[in-house]
Amino acid sequence: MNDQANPAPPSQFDPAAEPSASYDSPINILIVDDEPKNLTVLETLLEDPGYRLVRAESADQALLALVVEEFALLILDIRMPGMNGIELAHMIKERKKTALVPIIFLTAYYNEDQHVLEGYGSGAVDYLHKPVSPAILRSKVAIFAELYRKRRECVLANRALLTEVTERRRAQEQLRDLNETLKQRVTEQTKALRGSEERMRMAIEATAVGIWEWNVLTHAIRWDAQLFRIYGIAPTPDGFVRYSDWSGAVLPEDLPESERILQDTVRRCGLGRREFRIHRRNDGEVRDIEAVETVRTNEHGQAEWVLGTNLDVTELRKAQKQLKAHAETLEKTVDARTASLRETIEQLEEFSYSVAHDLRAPLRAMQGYAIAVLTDYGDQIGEEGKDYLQRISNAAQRMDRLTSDTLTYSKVAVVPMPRESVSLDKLIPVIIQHYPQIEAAQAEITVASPLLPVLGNEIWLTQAISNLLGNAVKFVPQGTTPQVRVRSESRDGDVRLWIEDNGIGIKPEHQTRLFGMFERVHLNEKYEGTGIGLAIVRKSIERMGGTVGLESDGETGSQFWIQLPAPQKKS
Amino acid sequence: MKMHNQTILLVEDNEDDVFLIKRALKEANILNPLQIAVHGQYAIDYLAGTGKYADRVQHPLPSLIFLDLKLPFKHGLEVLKWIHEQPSLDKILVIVLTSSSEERDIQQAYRLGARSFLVKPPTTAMLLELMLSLKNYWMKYNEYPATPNPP
Repeated sequence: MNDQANPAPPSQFDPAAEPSASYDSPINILIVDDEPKNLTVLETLLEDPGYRLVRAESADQALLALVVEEFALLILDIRMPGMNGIELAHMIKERKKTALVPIIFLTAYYNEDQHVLEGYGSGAVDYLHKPVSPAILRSKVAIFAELYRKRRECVLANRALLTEVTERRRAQEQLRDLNETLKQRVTEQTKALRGSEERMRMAIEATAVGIWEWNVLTHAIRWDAQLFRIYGIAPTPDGFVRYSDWSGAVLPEDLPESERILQDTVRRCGLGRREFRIHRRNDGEVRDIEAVETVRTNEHGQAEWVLGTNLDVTELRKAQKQLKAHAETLEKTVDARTASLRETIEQLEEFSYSVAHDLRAPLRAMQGYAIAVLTDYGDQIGEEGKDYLQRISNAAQRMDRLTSDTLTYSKVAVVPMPRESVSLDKLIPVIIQHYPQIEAAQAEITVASPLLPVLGNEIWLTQAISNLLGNAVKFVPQGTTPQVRVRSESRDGDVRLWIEDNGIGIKPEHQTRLFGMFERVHLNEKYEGTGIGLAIVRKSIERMGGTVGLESDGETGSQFWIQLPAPQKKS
Repeated sequence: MKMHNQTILLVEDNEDDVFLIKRALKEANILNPLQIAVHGQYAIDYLAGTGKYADRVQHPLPSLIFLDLKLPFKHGLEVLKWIHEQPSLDKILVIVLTSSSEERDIQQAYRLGARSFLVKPPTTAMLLELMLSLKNYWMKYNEYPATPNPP
């Protein structure tokens, strides 16, 4: 920042330390003498409105005065008690602030003092012999005063200059900053402008409309520069072309239809629109052109001028075609996928239909024949034989359950599951009443009515809840009456249905895999099951947008829950 | 009138099921004459009285049909449809007795005039129970129109 325009302050002046005096304030002169009458003499001699005389009767007084005020000149008596004039001058010269204050010594004789005085050199220090000649004193003082005045002016001017320079520098800096900002802004704008210009240029080139006019009476045809560009033809100086310049460019198969429309437009004196292809002359490329023309009529309503525009829409059409092709491909893909999905579902349905019928028939037969043998020939085969037959029958039954549960599970994953508001208050009593395994257990089932309604699929909700209730009454210790409590609670806008039993519970370490397929956490002999029931519960509830879970310490019963969205309140 | 000695037609291709159903009927003391058709086309032939079923004395028109659905040659639903289209057979009680309760089959069966849709129970005990309730409902209590189907 400190550069060329920083002038050093005048060497002998410290502007900051300089007086606040203005140009015409009186000049301070310090007069020092131990004889008050001598001081009075000096005062008399030097009486002038331009001077202000300050008296000091000792070196100490003088020093004090010098600290308080600034003086243009010291008039100093050498012979003083205590500190003499020479010593005082020495101190004054040593102090930076007062070093340059001129001193006039008053001396009585030519003596050793003179050498000392000469040692200071002229200019800053002068001397007068006593008795002092008033004229000489006045003139010397006047010189020093003038000197001081000039210096003071100089300092003031300097200060003003400095202020101005500082101001200017500040202004300059501001200007420079401003300039920088401006320059930056210009650069940015130029860049932006260049970008938008580029875009504009591209847009103009891409959409540039060529214009033609045709005088119907004189048959003169005139093109603008852009139209020449579109057709790849070197422009003629006046823009005039022949009809064949256009018709020759149009693809022969497009020409008749295009001409027909144009003629029709002229006849109607209306507005026409055509689309045709041309061979661009400079590169032979085929371009798509969109043309619009309007007919201007004279006062008799006869066609006078045809004004037309041509727009090269090749890129646009290309893009449109690509877009269309893309959309078609996409549509085909979607169709193919949908079809394949539908096929998969159909196959699955076909499969499960076959499984349901064909797989179960042999199991019925196994079971049926085993029981038939048991019934008809039981007394001939002994206890062991009867036990084996019973086991065959049991195994067949179990296989049948597995088959039907697997089927249910395979359905729960794919069948449509539309959701509606389901009243659990109505549904649960129906389930309790109609499911044989629940009825058979002779359980005490308490329903904490009213239960909150849920959003779900009634058919599958029935399946899920009956599975949970079936489990609740099944897994109880021998000899214990199953006690089940059904309750609901509102939870974050959902409804959670709890089914709590007094059964054998499920140990926490088994709880995570409990809802998996074929997972069983209890021994077969004691508690029959396929291990699919809870998988069906989870799958069906999840497909309804809900969640399932349980809480159990593995000893004192289980608390299973299903959570489903609450139905939208009808307003 | 009640159904006494009316013929029952069992349309069933699986001989094991035929065996088990016969046994259950006997156990339930349903002593009506039982005729068997082992596939869908035979069922239609029997009801139409054509081919080997032309003799109505030997093959009388049934009052009750147990109809399996998954049958060779003609699906049970096709048989049902055919029966439905014969005005002369509109008083025959058709009970679907099949392996699985597919919703689409149930819908279709009732639309085509089935009076009941039953799933073959997985155990003989349950089959017997089913036959006993059938006997009570359809044979003991149910009233049938007086004019029997013409031969």
